[in-house]
Amino acid sequence: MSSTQDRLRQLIAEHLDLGRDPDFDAKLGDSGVSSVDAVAFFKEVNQAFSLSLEPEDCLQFGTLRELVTYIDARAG
Amino acid sequence: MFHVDLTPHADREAYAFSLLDDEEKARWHRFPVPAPRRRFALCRAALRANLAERLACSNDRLSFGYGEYGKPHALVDGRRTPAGFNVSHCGRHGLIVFASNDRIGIDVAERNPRRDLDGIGSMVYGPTERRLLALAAGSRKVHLFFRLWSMKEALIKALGSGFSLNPSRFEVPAAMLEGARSSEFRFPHAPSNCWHLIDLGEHRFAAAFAYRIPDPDGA
Repeated sequence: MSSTQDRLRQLIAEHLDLGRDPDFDAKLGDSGVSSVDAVAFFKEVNQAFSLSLEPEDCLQFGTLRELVTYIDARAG
Repeated sequence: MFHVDLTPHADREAYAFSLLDDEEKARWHRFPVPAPRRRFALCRAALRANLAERLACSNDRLSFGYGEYGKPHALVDGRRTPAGFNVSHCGRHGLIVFASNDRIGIDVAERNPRRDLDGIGSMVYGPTERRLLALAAGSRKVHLFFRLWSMKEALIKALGSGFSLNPSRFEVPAAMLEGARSSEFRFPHAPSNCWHLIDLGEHRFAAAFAYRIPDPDGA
């Protein structure tokens, strides 16, 4: 498991009430997370990984795995 | 406008599930835990019952298609209908609105205190909205944050854009920032279309409803 995935798992545990361990391959749209929580989570992701994702940017991530891939690619 | 009781109730949930089509049942299964499954099944079943009556069709002829940004629309026998609706839910409350076209949006959100409202607001609110939020404190900040949130989300849902339109790129009408409960509104990027925005909030829940005002020629 990548360090990015570990860090995201930690952020999810702290900021999203998923009710269970996150499935990184599940569709984010099927997570049941509210829009307020989703925006709050991406704000934390921005801070944790020094990103500047806007709300509209977040629509590109169908799954948490795709977010991991994006972050790792940015870290190069 | 309809209220849907989302209180856990095994029999109601089982009946609601029975009204869903195969695609909806598959989506129900993809939700990881019971709460979003319950919200989805009860709201979708209530939506189905109302649409079937309005469109004079049986439930099994009804299905849903989705716009580019995920806004659903009703299909009867696979063909799109002009019936407009929008759904929002929060906690144990679901709200459904209906109209003769799909330019409507509704949002409901519980005013739960949470960390860093200014930080979240910096992602979705415009300059005036952020300034007002920064000036508020305590329960007034919570109240204002969710009031702004519900109004802006109702507008982007009515537009059908979802968050593809960054909510910080527009601000709710000045009159509503000053406390008015309703006002006309125009998106800066499409000022020719006029919308009506209504604040439906009460002490515990913020809620808002937006719809497009028809042009004089009926468009």
